[in-house]
Amino acid sequence: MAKTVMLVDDDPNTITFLSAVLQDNGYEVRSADNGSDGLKALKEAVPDLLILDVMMPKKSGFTLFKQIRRDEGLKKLPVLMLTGVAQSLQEMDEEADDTLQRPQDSLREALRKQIEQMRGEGLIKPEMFVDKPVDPESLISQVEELIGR
Amino acid sequence: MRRGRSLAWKLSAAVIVIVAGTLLATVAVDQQLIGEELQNRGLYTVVFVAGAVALSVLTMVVLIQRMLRRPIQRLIDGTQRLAEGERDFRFPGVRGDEFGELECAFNRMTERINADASELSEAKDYLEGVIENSAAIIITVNLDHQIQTFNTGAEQILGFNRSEVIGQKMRTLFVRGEDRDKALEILENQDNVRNFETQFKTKSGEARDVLLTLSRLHDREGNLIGTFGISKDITKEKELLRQLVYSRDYLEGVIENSADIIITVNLDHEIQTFNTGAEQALGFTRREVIGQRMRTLFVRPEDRDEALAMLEDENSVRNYATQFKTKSGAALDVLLTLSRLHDREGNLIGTFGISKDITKEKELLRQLIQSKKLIAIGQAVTGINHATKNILNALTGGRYLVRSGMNTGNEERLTEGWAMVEDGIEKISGLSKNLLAYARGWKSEIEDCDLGELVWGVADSLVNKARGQGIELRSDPTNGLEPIRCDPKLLRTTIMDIASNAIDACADKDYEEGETPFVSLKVHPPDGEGRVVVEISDNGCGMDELTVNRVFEPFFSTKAEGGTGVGLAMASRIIEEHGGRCDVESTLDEGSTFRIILPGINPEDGKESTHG
Repeated sequence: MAKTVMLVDDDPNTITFLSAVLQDNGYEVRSADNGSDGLKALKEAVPDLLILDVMMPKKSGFTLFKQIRRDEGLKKLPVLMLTGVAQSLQEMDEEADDTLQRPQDSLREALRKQIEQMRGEGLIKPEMFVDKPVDPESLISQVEELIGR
Repeated sequence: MRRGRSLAWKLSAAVIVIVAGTLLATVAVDQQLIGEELQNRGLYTVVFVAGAVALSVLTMVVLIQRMLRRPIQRLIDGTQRLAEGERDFRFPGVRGDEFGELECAFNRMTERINADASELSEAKDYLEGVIENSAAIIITVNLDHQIQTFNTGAEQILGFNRSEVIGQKMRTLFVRGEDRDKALEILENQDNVRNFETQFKTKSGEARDVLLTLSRLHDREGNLIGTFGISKDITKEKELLRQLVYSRDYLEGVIENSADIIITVNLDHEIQTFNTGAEQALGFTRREVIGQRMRTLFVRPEDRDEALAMLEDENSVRNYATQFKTKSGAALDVLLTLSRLHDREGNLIGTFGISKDITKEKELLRQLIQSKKLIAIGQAVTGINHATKNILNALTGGRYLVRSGMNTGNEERLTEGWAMVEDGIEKISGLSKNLLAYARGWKSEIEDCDLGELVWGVADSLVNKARGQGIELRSDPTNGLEPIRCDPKLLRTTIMDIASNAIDACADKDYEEGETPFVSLKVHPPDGEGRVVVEISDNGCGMDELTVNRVFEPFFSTKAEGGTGVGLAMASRIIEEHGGRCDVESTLDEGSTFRIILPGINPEDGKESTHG
């Protein structure tokens, strides 16, 4: 039986794109365009994997992620997070002492704070992030690593 | 006065009567003897003459007793009583003779003495009163140096009761006993001591500063009996003087040790004072500049003329930005505060200038502006980066779909993919336009504006849009606000943008039953610092922390369709240009509150400026 992947992203283009990539690789795909609908759908039927956009209107991906981790039924659900800053966050970690040289970036700082907090709580790992624009091949390899084919 | 017959007349009359009587008696006896026999003739004569003489003597005694001894005795008694102090005693003075006159004279003398005595006693009372009530310390001392008089002033100032000190040695009252010896020595040499400065001990052991004036005290006969000292308590004056000296020293110290440049200049524009701060900042020693023209210290000497003209017009010059020349020829940025200098009589004698070296501050400000620019650039770059990544994602997706559609002959995919590519192209051109809009800047047109009216106008134009989506727009007109200086068009657009977002936030939320979606627009009157606040709140979907952090970021949009990502970024810039700021509070699913905080009086008062 095919593994199910749930996509939550406010951008219809991303939904279409990733749905095609995942389906082409034998996964069943469901989707929601906002966090609230996504949570409802997750509770109705728990998928094998959740791919979650971080920057969504009003409720960010992190908020939904925390809700999932607090939910008994969804606690163990593997999650991949889509963000435009995964790469730069990694760079930022590498250049942690180099703060004065970098131009100010409130988003990166905010994300970093969030991620550090979540890392502190053991909720999140660096390999959970997928950078936008999404490279279909590396996405599939990350998905396979998490839930297999 | 009644003038009677004199005593001499009375006595003469009495003697004449007696002599005449005796003579008559003798003649009568003689005649009788002639007529009779010479019988017993001698015996009769003797008896008769003896009788007449005895009678005469008796009469004389009586007369003397009556006319001399008694009045004399009365005079003696009266004088005695007067001598004993019976000052009310008076002689009857009724006799017409010399005794009467004497008595009257005595009476007059008594009255005269009484008058003199009462005058004397009044003078004595007066003097005693003066001494007693004098605020000065008055002390008399006898030849044994013992205190004899100690007036109320002394009691009050020194705290001793006179009973405690009278009879005590005067020396013990001095803080420095040798001061008394010194004063006495001066008295010895110069006959008096005036304003000898010393200190007395009070009962509680404190020292009182006094000015002692000392003179010798003599009795009526001119014998030296002691000294008379008047001392004026000058403790307060000395304290004032001490404070004055302290203040002067303090001020001199302040001027001297101030890190600021303090220079005074006389009416001939010559430097008079040049403090250490000035020496250190400008590199000149005071010797080099005192007496020199002040003008030469200015990089632009005309600045000094301008500052002096301002001083003339406005009486003081505060924080006039200019530059001083240092000895090495460098220019020093300073803020000059200038005031007029007067002498004690109020005559203008020059100017007093304090200048603050702001070279460091200027450099810091330059760095701050630089770093603010960097922040702005960073924010814009980040925004553009995020926006392009999203577009790139759509294009990547489109490419994937097109390619797989072509490879598999799946036309649906091909169409979908191509649509995504087109969407991406559209988004790129949109971003390009927004970049231009954001970078173009705008020209502020500052004018007086009634903020209450402006906000009411925004509410009015949005009420239909809100009502159409079942959202209540709450706004009360705010009247009587002081007009603020702003660009009404820009401010109106800003408030409109934020309020429109609030309506959208309500539209995005699923309300529970009985809950009314609302957007509220309020103007809060000026706070203590004169700031006015426009508050736009809603009970819409709200934002989580991450989103709140990004709302003012350029090119960030939470709206899938139609959001340019420029509105709030622009709004925030416009508010900052007005000298204000925009705060936002938001709770997910509960709503958001935007506060536009504007200064009451625009710091760019009246100036029109171009931003971008």
